[in-house]
Amino acid sequence: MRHEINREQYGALGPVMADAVSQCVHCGFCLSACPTYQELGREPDSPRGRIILMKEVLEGTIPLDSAAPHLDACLGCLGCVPACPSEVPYGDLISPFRALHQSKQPRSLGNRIKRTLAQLTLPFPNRFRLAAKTGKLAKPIVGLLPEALRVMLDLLPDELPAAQRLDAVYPATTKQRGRVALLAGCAQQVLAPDINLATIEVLNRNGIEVVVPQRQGCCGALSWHVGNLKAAQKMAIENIKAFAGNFDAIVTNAAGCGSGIHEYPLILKGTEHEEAASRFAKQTMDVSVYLASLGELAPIPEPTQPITVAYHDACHLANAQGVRAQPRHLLKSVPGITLVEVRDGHLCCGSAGTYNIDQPEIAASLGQQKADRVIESGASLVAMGNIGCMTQIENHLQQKGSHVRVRHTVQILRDAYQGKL
Amino acid sequence: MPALTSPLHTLAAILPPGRVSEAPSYCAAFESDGLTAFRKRPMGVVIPETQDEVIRTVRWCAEHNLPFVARGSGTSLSGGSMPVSDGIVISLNKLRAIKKLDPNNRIAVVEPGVINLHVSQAAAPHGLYYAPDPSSQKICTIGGNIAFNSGGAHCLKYGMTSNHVIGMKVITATGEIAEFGGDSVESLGADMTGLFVGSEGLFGIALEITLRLIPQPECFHTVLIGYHALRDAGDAVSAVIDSGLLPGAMEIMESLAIEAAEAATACGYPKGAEAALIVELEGPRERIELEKQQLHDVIAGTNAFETVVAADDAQRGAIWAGRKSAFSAVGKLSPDFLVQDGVVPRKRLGEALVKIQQFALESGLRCANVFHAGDGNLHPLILFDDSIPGQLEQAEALAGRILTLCVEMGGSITGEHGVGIEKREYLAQMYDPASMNVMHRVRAAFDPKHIANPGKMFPSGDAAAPEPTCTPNQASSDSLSSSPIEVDSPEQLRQAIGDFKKVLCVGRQTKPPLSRVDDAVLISTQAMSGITEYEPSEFTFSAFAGTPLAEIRDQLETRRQYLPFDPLLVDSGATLGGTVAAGLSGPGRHRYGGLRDFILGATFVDGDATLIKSGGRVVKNAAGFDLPKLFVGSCGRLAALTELTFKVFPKPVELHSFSLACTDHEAAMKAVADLARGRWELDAIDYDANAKLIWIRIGATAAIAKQIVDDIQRTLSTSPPFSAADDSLQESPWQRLQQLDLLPAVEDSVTCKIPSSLQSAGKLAQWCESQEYRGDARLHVSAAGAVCWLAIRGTLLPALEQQLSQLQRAGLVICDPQHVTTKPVIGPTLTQPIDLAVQHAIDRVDRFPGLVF
Repeated sequence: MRHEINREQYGALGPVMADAVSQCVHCGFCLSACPTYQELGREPDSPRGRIILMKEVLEGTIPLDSAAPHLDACLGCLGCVPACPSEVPYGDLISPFRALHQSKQPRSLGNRIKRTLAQLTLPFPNRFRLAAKTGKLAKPIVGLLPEALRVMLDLLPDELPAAQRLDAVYPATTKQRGRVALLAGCAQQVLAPDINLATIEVLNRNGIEVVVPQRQGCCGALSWHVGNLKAAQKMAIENIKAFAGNFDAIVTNAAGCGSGIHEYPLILKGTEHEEAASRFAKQTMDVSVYLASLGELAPIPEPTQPITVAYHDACHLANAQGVRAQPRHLLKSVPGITLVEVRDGHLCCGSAGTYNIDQPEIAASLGQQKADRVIESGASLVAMGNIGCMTQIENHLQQKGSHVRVRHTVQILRDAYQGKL
Repeated sequence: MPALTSPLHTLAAILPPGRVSEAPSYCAAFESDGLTAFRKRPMGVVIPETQDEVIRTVRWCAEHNLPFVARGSGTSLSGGSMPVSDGIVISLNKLRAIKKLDPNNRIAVVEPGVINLHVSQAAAPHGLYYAPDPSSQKICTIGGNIAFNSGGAHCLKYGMTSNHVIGMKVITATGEIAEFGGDSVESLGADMTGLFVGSEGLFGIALEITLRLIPQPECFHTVLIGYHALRDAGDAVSAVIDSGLLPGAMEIMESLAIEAAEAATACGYPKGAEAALIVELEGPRERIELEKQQLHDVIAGTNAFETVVAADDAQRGAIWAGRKSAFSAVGKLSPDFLVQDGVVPRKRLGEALVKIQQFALESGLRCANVFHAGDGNLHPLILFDDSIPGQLEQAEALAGRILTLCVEMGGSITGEHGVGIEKREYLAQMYDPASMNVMHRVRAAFDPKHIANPGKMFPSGDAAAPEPTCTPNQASSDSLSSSPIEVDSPEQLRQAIGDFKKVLCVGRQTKPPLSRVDDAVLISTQAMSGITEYEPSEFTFSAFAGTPLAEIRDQLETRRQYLPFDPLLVDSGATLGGTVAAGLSGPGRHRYGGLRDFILGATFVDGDATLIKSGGRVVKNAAGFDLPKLFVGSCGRLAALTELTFKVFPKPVELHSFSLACTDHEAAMKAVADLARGRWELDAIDYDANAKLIWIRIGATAAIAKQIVDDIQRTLSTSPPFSAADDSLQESPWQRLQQLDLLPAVEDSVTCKIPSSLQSAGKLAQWCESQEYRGDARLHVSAAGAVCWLAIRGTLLPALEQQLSQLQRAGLVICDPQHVTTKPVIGPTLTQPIDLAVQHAIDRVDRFPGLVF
């Protein structure tokens, strides 16, 4: 599509955005894959419409505040990417665009508090833990709080698991086949520290030594996706340093973090760290991808009874990292598991980073639909690879009184190894 | 949304809050459709959520003389939904309810914003689907499909959108709400539904649409074949057609398109191929087993270097994903492209492709070719870079050469994308000024103020058509003799029409009630006879209106082809023109469609005594209004037909009939529904209500027919079993219906055609069986419940009228030897203002008698 974006005007990210716009032919195929278009039915709230809006803002022909509501409504789920025959790298447009325009965007006070709170707490486990505890105390007075804060509280679990401090090294428990570094995640460490334990145990049982670099921090994806480029760059650089060492892979178990690291080359584009970022991104993979690459897994005992498991594609795993087959393959390899699909699986569950905080109505609608589809699948357990989706889907399943349990793929593998599935 | 400042605030005031926006974000997002080379910002955008809101918006536009462009998902490739700067966009995406899905009658009623694929998804649990499959089917809407008469890869066998839309409720640009067609695939009167489909948004907005659903093919046999030369692929297509096979789809892609699709979808196309051919057979497994061997033999005789047979659904999906994403995938090769949509006669495909390559070479632009080879529909993708000054113009010039080439070869400028804004200057190459004038007049009947999608389709857009001179009807001496005046050429007919004040054309008057008028001179076209062109390899023929059907049947038979709508009264001498005017199809219409689904072109004389051409001579054509369809069922009240072009198909190898005795009508109707929904692709499903016998006909060899009927028995657990019938015998119901000789023993019998549903047919059957009518009525339910042929003693007509009123069904009297009735229509009917306006647009001087309805 023709555009008149000045490629030089927007620094290192200018050409990236211009090229993405140029690649779009406006065919509209992306509309079918966009959850917000499905919800709202309005062209400006579709990927194609948003590309036009970003193009126009970058060209300077329409004001940012006219485009902003539609761009803010984008989940960043990247559902449009696999749907696009022209392979427009939508993520390369929306994230830099947000980074560029974040500061210029006028927002309401409540909205600002919300965004700031989320960014100041979620990436830092200790702060988040504290905030979550405070939030828990506030739950009885939830009705008195502004709407913006209420949704944040609604998402908090009633009970937080005990804090978990991870060791620096977990040696393989069988003959060693490899050595990886684990990105421990931030919100995940507070909400579900068990996922890291499960990851470590499954890897160890398969002969993999797991190193947990102690100086690692948040991957920066949260900041990047709401347009805080500076913060994202700082976190990226710190992590590249923290993970220096000789590893077969850097393993992530939260799809959001994994995709965030894959965006490091973009985040650090035009800086001295760009090349290191590319190397780092190449080395990073989801735990399911790493496990599947090992070939045969250590034998898993037969379960006492067969179980039906549904697999939910986390957007940041399936769309952003193209990881669909490996988790399914792993789950199918567990004796006794019948794997089923979730209908309309390509649609986001509405979690999408801080989306359920920023756009609660759409997030809730998508969450309800996803819960319905999961229930409809007839599974007693739903597996996925992202903490955000887990919180969102669990929340909506609970609201519907469903007993379907939400588990991370590695938790299921670990439980199977322990004979507790 | 910010407050509105423009005149739109009065529109906003009559709609719920938030429906109207003139924010830059809305105006920018809607500025173009799938063809970004053309864009314009509208004044504002309306996103209505109910039909009532659409109605209010259109009426407001009519009142304020403000143009509107209705739009679905904006996937048009002809700029058909590009906004106008002094008007609004009405986005119909929120009208997305599937209001009814009736699996027994195989119909769905949907709103215009419903997505094409969602219809098939909703129908899937019943084993049904909606056949038209444009490449954008995942997102394009039914409303948009209707506007542009969208096609897809599977048009060859099942036709385009217009062949699957059977009824609609519309709002015209003047604000009139009208209903066309209904819930049956058969209808009475001029086919306004057919006219509305493909009108490019120039008539108004379809608010509710009734779609025909068909059974999902049980089996697909999808073959992907690689060729080193494009011509070899083209030859292979001809070889397949000549073999008598009727594939569901035949597609060719050229190397550049293969490369793009392969890069986008990893679809596994043959490496190093200059051309890839996809052939897909579909149908019941028994038949496919046989046909795939046939196909294999044909392909083996071509210069194929690689043949891949899809082993499973996933591989078939990959093959089609590659094809369907080809257009957009080209976006990777080039920042901009124009997709062309010309049609050429299939036998000239190779020649056309060579010329296009040559044109591209001369222009210095790259051109990727993807096309629906089965119906000669080319999609050259012209690649260019809009940021390089002059390239858009260069691309348009190349596109223009290609379009002109298609017209010169006897084809069309568009097969399925519509004329839109992009090709509007080329429409006049296809139609002469007189024919263009008629189209202008028909448009004005719907939209006198030019506010509905203005600027599209007609050359130089919206500049009013030069008002053609209209010879006033000055004829005075009408000699109303009893025997018709004979004419033997279109020119004679034209002169004769000018000579008389009121005329009605007839053929051999095999349906006398339809030509019983007392104020018009009858002109017989029976001497204007003969097949003017027959192209077996194109699946088309043209013939004068007075040509007897028997002659056509015999001629087609020599090439083992036939008229799939199974015309009636063939041996009684019926003519082609009379059959079109009466709109009659036989039981065989069940499989592929009725007369309306096979008519391609019509030449006619209008009320001004001007000879007009409409439609085309190729199997696929979406240029201009579909006037040929309008004449189907018009009973000669709109114009006088001179020459007609039809699509034909390979004849089934053999036909075998079987009958099933039923205990009662209810059970029979249920069995008919099950048979029609099944996988067996039956040629006909009829029900002789008096004998309580269901009759089915299977188009296959005896052995396969036997296998199929055995499977039907197993599946439906019918008891007693089907019994085979000898088709040559007179007692077969097909013969009786063919001659419309349902009640031979009753002298004053009246025979009529009543479009129906299974429910209505069942009720009519009960009614006929009740004590008073037994023996005096005979009911033959045809086309799986879609039409009732009822013969009844003349004295019972008033009772029938009453019954039809209760059923809300109307009938057309076809036979009435004793002149029992004076009007050909019985039961409740309604003439709407728009019906009269369209009649007046074609016949401005009231030359032809008034509408039958």
